[in-house]
Amino acid sequence: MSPDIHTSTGAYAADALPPAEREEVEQHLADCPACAQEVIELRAALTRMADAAAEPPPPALRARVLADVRRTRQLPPVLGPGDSRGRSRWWWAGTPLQIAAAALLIAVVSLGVLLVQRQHQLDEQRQLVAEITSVLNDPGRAVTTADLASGGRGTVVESHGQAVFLASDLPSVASARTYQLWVMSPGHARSAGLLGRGKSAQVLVPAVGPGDSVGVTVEPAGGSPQPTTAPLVTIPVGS
Amino acid sequence: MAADVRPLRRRSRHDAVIASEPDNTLEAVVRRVAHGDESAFERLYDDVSGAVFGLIRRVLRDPAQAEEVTQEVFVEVWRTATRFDARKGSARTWILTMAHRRAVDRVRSAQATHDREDTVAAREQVRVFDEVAEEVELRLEQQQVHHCLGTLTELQRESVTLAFYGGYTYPEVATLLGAPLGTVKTRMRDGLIRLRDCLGVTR
Repeated sequence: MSPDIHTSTGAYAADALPPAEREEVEQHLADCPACAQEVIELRAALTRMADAAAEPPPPALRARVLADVRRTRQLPPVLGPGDSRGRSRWWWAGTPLQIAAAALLIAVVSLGVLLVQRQHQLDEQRQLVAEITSVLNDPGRAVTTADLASGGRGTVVESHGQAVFLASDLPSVASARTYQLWVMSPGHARSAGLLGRGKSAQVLVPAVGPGDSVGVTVEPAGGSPQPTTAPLVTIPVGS
Repeated sequence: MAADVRPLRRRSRHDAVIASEPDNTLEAVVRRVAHGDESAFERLYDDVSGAVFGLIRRVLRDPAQAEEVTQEVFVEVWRTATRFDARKGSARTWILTMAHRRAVDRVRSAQATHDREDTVAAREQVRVFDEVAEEVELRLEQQQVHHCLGTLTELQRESVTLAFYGGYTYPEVATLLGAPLGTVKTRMRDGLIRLRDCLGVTR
């Protein structure tokens, strides 16, 4: 950790740190209550600067926001004062038990949905969930996270040549469009499937190798054989 | 202009917050939003949408994009109101921090897809900087903020306003100002500390 990290609170509060430094400061803040308090205070000062920049939004925006909110489910609260917030923003960077619990959650959700489906599909999906779970539970897994240009986050978890792609907070796309996942190697892209229409997605990506990246594009509904738009994010596998 | 519901200052421990909280603070409004109260959300929108939109537009400049990001921010406020933590700052700061972060994320992801080395773009940045500096002078609506920014040294003020209103990273600010990296970083902190003390804000 760099010695001048205490002087980074200003740039951190103003969102002026490059990503690597931002990460470093975030980790430091979890262990330095005085620094965290300083960030709170500097952000309060910046809030006044934001107020000074206030201007009325277009009136039509209000109705659009309210309509959006009416069809958006709220997150459940985080339980208990002893939760792990602040230490890590990512549950999959947590303890093996947390990882297992998260994997179990994915399994339960997936299986719950599948109960109404036919038996052979269920078996197939069970196999898929087992594979996803085994990737997420591998102590040697490599985890990389990046933001999508259009909003939302993607995470690639890699273990023994298999990867799981997890997406969260995906903005919805027009009904004639879809998010499509790709395995990208130099000069070549192969489809790894569509992400569905939910805000989050979990996709097993088999057969990934060193040097591969996982990318997301927006394609016409039904998907494309090759990407037709610039990727919203490309995440290197296993780095 | 921002509306008048300001968070009251509280020193109570967090476990006493709910009992001691008057229901007209923005914190209390967020708590009702967390219970799925749409009318509380409308009130919250009316209270902070001016600051949210103004800040995002200041950073992004393009009104259409600013509208889009403003919409995203409010949906995020709705979604995550259940996780608002008053120990980490006021509700207003929580919302405006989210707004600023989203705005710079939009700037930087757009930048990443363009050619960062483009010298035309670099010249363009200097031009934008001049505009920002001018605009900050002209458009500061709140006398106190204007006054307090005036108590900063020039380098402190430029570092803070370019980072916050301009949405630049501190290495970008250092390039624009022709100042060393470490200097700009410490001036940002010193400047914000002076601003905090001048404004008398603690949370």
